[in-house]
Amino acid sequence: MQTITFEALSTQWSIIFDSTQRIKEVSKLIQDRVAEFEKKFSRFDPKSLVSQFSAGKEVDDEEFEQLMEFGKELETKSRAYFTLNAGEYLTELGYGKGQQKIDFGGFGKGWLIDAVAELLQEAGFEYFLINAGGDIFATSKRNGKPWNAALEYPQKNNTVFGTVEIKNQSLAASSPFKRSWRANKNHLLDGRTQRSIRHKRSLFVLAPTAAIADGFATILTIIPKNLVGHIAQENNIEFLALEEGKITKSTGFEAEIF
Amino acid sequence: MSRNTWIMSAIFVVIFGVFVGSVVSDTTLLDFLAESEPTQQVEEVKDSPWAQDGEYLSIELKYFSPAGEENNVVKVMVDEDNTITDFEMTIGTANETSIAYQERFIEELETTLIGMTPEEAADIDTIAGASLTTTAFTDAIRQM
Repeated sequence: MQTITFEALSTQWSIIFDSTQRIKEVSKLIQDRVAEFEKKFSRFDPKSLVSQFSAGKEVDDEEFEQLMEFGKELETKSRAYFTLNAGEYLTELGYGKGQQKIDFGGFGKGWLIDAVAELLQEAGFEYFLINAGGDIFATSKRNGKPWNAALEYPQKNNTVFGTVEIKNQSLAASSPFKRSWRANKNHLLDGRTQRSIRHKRSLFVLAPTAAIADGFATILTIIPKNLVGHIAQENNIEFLALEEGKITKSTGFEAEIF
Repeated sequence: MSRNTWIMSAIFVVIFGVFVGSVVSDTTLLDFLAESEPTQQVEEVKDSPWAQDGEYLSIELKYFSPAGEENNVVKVMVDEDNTITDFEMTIGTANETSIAYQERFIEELETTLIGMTPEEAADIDTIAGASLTTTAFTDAIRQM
């Protein structure tokens, strides 16, 4: 197996190739694609499309429109608990510069994982796993078997509580514990109240694409507890939730818990 | 090879992977991708000589980081139930960046490896939900 690692979207990425095929050329393509995405959607860059949009300028970009459309679909499916308008709120907490009126943080990383996967497949790679800071998309191994991913406790770094198999699907995680440094504030915003969520629920989501997995990991973390099962089922999402020391999961999330 | 030697070899791959990873994550994306070549540590590892050091098995690692050549002594202990019970690594550098990396790796490896059997660890390809975990670490786990 061969691996490449790099930093993007403020996290570390690794791509494992179960192949002896030369990866140098495709690595360059990935580098260009990731750099392009970061430039377009950065919360911090005043020249980014996100910044331009927030400044009231017209944005003419196909991918920007696709992200907007996908984000709005997530808003609807979350029954408005998820919002694209978290940008301003995040700026107040120190996650960005200027007054951003829009934020793709709830699913942007997943979107980029899918874009990288597509690029790899177009370049003729069939057997690979992409891990972007703990969010994963994988095809199968060369022998047709799934990849085995360990599930990490959100509050205990490097302590795993189980494993789950991934094959031609994505596994994304969301938790209010990471990136939280102020009392009662975190990066997860309830779109209805415009406040940080108060409950401490962490989610692992299995879905066909990384954008869907990432988006629904965010949604299922934000929404009230009694809606988690409903919204997951409505959208064919398999999940595992950790809350108040308890693990709940959908029947299709076939994890092995230690 | 005895069973213990095999287990030690697995651990060696982890340690080696961690340092390779540390070098990689220390470079920019551009630099790394420009030079990226497949890593093939497994072959080298099979012949690595582990020394008996009291109850521990130990090995001296030499590798190159952006700070130059580094040296570390790694020691691990596996009990009769095939469980890793202890892990030690000495830091042999004065470079502050290298020390910071190595301290973090020691902490990460320690919490994960202790209590696991080498077989359990060997089954894991990647780690989900680990937004603070370094790729070096994930990479290391994969190579076990």
